[in-house]
Amino acid sequence: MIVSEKKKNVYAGIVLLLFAIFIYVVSFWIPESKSDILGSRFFPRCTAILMGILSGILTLSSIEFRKREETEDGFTQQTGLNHSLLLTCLALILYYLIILQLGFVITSIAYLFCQCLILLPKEDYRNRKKMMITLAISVLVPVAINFIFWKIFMIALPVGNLFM
Amino acid sequence: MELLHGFQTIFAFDTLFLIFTGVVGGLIIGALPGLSAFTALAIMLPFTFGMEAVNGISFLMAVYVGGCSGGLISAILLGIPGTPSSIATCFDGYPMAKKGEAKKALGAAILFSFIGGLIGAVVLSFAGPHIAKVALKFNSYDYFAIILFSLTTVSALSEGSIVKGLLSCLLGITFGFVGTDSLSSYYRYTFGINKLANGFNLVPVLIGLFAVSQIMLAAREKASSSKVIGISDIIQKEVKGFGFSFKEFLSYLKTAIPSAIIGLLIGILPGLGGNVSNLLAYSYAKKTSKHPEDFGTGVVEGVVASETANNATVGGALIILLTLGIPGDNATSMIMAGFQLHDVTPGPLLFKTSGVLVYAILAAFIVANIVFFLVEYYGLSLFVKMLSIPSTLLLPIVIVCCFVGSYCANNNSLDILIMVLFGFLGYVLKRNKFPLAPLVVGFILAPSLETYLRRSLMKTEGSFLPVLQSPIAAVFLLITVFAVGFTVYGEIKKVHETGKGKMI
Repeated sequence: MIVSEKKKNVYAGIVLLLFAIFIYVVSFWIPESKSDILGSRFFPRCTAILMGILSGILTLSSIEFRKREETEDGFTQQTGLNHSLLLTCLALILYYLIILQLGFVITSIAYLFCQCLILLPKEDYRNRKKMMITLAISVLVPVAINFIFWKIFMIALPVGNLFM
Repeated sequence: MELLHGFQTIFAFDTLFLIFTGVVGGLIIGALPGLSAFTALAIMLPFTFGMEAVNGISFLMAVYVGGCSGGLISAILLGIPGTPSSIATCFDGYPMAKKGEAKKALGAAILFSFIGGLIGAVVLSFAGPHIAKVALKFNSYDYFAIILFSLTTVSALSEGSIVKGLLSCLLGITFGFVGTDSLSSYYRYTFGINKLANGFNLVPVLIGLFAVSQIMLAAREKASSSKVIGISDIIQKEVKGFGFSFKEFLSYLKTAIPSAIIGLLIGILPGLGGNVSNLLAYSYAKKTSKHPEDFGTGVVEGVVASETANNATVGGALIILLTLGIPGDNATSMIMAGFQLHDVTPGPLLFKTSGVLVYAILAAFIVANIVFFLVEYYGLSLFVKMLSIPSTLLLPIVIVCCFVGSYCANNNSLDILIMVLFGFLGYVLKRNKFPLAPLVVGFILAPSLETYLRRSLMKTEGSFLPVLQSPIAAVFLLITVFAVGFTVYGEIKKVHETGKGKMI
C-alpha cells in the first residue's frame, strides 16, 4: 500500500487532535485545587488546547498541500504492516507477559532465539553454523546476565510466579 | 593548595584501584543501552557500605564519570543513546558510523568528553562556591523562563518541521502530567493505577522510545530490503590518533568551548542535567554553524557539542550538589545517597566541616576523568570490534538488557510494560517523522515548568508582571520569543521560496 507523506500527516493530525480532546475531557476528573491560583487542571488543559491548535494546523496544511500535489509527483512511502514487524511486536508483548510467569532466564532464552530468527535473512535458516551460534548466544546471554546480577550485584531478576 | 592535599589523600593504592574499577564498571554499564549512569550508581552503591568515606565517595564519582561517558559508544555504534546524556550524540555520531567514520566519531567523542569533563572539574574545584552563589539568587520566575527557553528551542531547532517539533514536545509534557501533582498532591491521569502515582519512570520511557523502536525499525527494514541494515555491514575507514588533524582540533574548539559553558551552566541549575545540556549545546552548535543543514547527516561538530556539554555538566551538577546540597539530576541524587551512607551532609557548610574530604572528592573527580580518557582511548579498538557483531544478534541482546534496565530502575514490572508501549509510540513517531528529542525534553522538564510557574504566581498573587520584571527571566523570555519567531520566519521564507510546501 502506497501512502503519501501528506496523507500520513493528515492521519497524524487527526489522531493528535483526538488525543488532545481526550486529555482536555479527562482533566474534568482532576480534583480542583485551591492551593494556588492556576490549580492542578490548568496546565493539562493549556497543553491540550495548544496540541489541538497545532494538530489542526498540521491537518489543514497537509490537506491544502495534498490538493496541490495531486497534479505533481508527491513523495510517497510504502506503508502497511509486514510479517517481521508484526512478529517483533508480538514477541515484545509476549516477552513482557511471560517473563512474570516463567522468569527472566527461560523467557529471555525463548525471546532471544525467536527475535534472532525474525531478524535473520531467510537464507540463513539453512546455515547450521549460524543457527548454532544463534542458539548458543540465546542461551548464554540470559544465563550470564542472571548470574552477574544475582551473584555479583545481589539483584534478583524476575524468577517467575510458577517457580515461587 | 587544598586540592593538593586532596590528591595526597587519594594517592593510595586502594583508592586509585577503586577509581579505576569504578570508571571501567561505569563505562561498561553506561555503554549498554538502557543501563544509564544512574543505573550504574544504583548497582554500585551497595558495594560502598563497607568502605571509608573517601574511598566510597571517590568510587561513586568514578562510576558517575564512567557511566556518563560510556553512553557515547552505543550512541555512535548503534544509534541508541546508552544514557540520556548522549541523545544528541546519536544525531551525527550514528550517521558518521553509517558513512564508515565510526572511529573518527569515537575519537572526537572521547577527546571532547575528556576536555568537557576536565573543564567541569577545573571550574568545580576553583570557582564552585562563587558560581553556586549566583545560582542561589535565581528565583522561581527565572527557573520558569529558563525551562520554557529550553523547551521551545529544542522543539524549534529539532529535525523536521517546527509544528511537528512542538507537537512532540507537547506530547512529552502531557506524559509528564501522569502521577501526583507536586503542589496539590492530587493524582492526575493515573486512571486508578496506584503504581503510576510517581508518574512514568524516565528510564523505561527513554529505553522504549529509542531502543525498542529501533528493533521494530530493523524488523521492518529486513522485510523491505531482505537484509538488516546495520553498521556492521559498512567498511570503516582506518584512522590515526583521534582521526583528525591538530588544525581540525583547533576548529572544533570553537564548538567545544561554548558547549562546555552551556554544560556547566545547565549542570548548575537543579533539575537540568546532561540530558538537557547535550541537546541545548547541539542546538546552539547547529544554529551558529555556517552549514546548519549538514547537522544530522554526520558532522563532527555535532558529536563535539553533545559530548563536551554532557561531561561538563557532571562538574556543574557536582557544584550544586557539594555547595548547596541539591542533586541536579537522578544520578547526582544517587551520589547524595552515597554521602548520606557515610554520614556526610552536602551543603554550604561541607567545605568548612569536611574540607579534607571535599578536596579529596574533587581530586578523585579529576583523576577519574583522566582514567576514563585513557581507558576509553586505549580500549577504542575493543569497542569498535562491537561492529563485527551482526545487528541481528546484537539488537535482541540490547532488548534483553533494556528489559533488565527497565526492571532494575524500580524493581517494578509495570516499567517493562511502559517501556514496550513507549517503544510502539517511538516507532509510530519515527515513521511519521516526528522528532523524539522534544518529546523527551518535554517529559523531563514538564513538572518543573509547571511547578515554577505556579509557585511564581502564588508569590505574585496571580500577576505575571513581576515575572517579567526579573532581569534573568525577562532575558530568557525575550530570547525564547526571538528564537521561535526567527525559526517560524525561516520556515515561512523557505515555503515561499520553494513555492510548494516544506513547512509540514
